[in-house]
Amino acid sequence: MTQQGTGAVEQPSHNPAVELENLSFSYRPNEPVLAIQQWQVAAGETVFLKGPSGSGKSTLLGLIGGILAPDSGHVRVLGQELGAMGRGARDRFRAQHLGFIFQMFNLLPYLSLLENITLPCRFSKLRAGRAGDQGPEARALTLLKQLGLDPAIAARPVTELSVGQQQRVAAARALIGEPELLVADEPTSALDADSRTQFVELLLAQSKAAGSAVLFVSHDASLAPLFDRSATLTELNTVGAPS
Amino acid sequence: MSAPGLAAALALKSLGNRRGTALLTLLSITISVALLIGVNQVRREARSSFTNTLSGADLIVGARSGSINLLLYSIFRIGNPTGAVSWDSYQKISSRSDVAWTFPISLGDSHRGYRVLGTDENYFTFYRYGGGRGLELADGALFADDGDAVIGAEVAAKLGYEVGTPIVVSHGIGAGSFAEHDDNPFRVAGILERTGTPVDQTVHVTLAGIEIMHGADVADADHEHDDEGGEGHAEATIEPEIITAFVVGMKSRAALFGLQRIINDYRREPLSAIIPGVALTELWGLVSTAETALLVVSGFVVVAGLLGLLTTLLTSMNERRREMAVLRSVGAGPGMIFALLICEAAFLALLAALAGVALVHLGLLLSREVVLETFGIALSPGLPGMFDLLVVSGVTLAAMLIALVPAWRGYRNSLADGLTVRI
Ligand SMILES: Nc1ncnc2c1ncn2[C@@H]1O[C@H](COP(=O)(O)OP(=O)(O)OP(=O)(O)O)[C@@H](O)[C@H]1O
Ligand SMILES: [Mg+2]
Repeated sequence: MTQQGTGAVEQPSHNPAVELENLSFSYRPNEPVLAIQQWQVAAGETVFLKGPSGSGKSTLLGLIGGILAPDSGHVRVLGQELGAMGRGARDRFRAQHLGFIFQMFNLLPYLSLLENITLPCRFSKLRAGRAGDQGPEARALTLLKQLGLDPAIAARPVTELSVGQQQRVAAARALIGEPELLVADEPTSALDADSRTQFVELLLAQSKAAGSAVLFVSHDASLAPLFDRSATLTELNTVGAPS
Repeated sequence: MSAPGLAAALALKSLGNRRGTALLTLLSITISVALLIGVNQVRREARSSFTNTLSGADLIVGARSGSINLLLYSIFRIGNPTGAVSWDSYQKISSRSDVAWTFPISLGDSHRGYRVLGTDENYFTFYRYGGGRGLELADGALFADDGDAVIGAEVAAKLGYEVGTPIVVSHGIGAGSFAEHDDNPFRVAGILERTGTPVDQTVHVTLAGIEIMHGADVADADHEHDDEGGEGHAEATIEPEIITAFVVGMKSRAALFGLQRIINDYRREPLSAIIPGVALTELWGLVSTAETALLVVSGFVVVAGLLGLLTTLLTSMNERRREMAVLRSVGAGPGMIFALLICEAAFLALLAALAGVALVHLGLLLSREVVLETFGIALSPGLPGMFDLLVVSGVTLAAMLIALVPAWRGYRNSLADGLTVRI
């Protein structure tokens, strides 16, 4: 792992990837969604997080991504207290250290496939630097190959890709520049069972190679054995799922 | 890449992806801007065309009337004369020592819709237009006798006349109106170079020619000849009793206002002397209300175009929530989302406004010939000016201001949505 120190934030590789403490969050006053006493994802650890619909999984990812702010308590990512950062600093932090994959529609239709993958490198010099000496584009093509895609599809408009192909491209984007934490919010729910397993295996292989911790949210418990550890949000969350 | 640069680059690509609606919005702004620029341009051209029609003349004298009226009928051949000036007064004033030159203007007849103007050689010597250019003959010669006509370039071109063509003049104005004086046809003696002024649409004949046509007899020529003025004119054969107006050039402009006052207070008949520039200014004062109204209306059309832009941007906001969420996930702040939308509006408006300006100037360039021939207005192939710059920057700025609404909405959405996008 190349460690080019262009970012203002020092490399906190020994710190836990995620650390929650006395966290509480609500969208509307008096309607708490999340309350978590203590929870951690270690550096480089891959965690499978499940929970029923509406239990607050996406909300938790928003908090970890620094897009939502907790009502009280601490969210530390890579040892950094998100609440102590300004909003701009949180955006920069996200660009530098986090990779996201969503359920679907991950790609910007007006960018080419390679532009989509290298997008994080345009927001973060650190990740552009980590993408290797040949530059982000070359790295993107390598990632495509490693994720089981023919690099020739790079010439195609992203709107012509199948859902499975789109998700692999999204995975390549999340992985480029080796972010310390990869957050995936049900990225496999639109895939069939076989491609699901294959997708997760490829994703985990690449994140292991990059040394990234993975927080993977899914309904599909059959994927759980592929991860270092699995957790259930309803067990962590003392608010409990709203009816 | 810098954040604003990145926002601009993404905005362009995003716009390109929605080029269908973007193009329609662009078109509506382009048309509205073209209308505004066009109205202003035509207004300016009309003004400069009017201003260019007569230069170097110090006074125009006619029967007592409003100065705009006198200016319009004597020089621009618009409207009808309200009265006449006696030949006697003309002689008296033109022989004054502070007067350098004069030429008479006698209107009232027409030839196939073109005005017939009775005058003398001085007209061709002293008439100046376009800031000092004089009249030139394209073909033929000036008056040799009273049956000669010197026609403007437009008359020659439209009617296909050449030197030697006989022409018949009818009394009154308008194509083939009233009685035709066909027993005394004129003959085209000369054709003038094109000037881009009403001269091009005029048939010039001698004052005596008009008299003969109206039935004057060479015999009763010297009736009422006054010995006080015009005595040196040995060639005077037939003299009119009245003319419509005359134009005066002074030896020194210092005496201009003095003479104007003298003429306005003239004892023998009620006369008006006007300074062309002053009368033109008065005319602009009069038409400026209409011009302003036109400009305001075109301004509102631009506003409508910009509101169309707002509609397009707002409608696109919902389908673009996912785009915003993806951008946020890779590190775009809400400020970036904001900048993205402002950039998009600014770019669209700038492009549309520039297209509008180009459209007008190209259009004017291409329609020069037609406008000159139909309206006698010489469009100068002017480059885009201050007004155009103002409109382009104004429209772009207004678009950016308008885009604050969707930008603010995008900003709020991107805060509220977080990474989960609901559509
Ligand atoms: N922007 C929002 N404003 C208000 N309430 C919200 C918002 N987003 C989510 N919620 C509520 O918060 C709770 C948790 O939602 P969340 O999206 O985190 O669930 P989830 O576990 O991701 O569900 P799913 O598995 O269906 O994606 C739900 O009750 C939801 O209605
Ligand atoms: Mg969810």
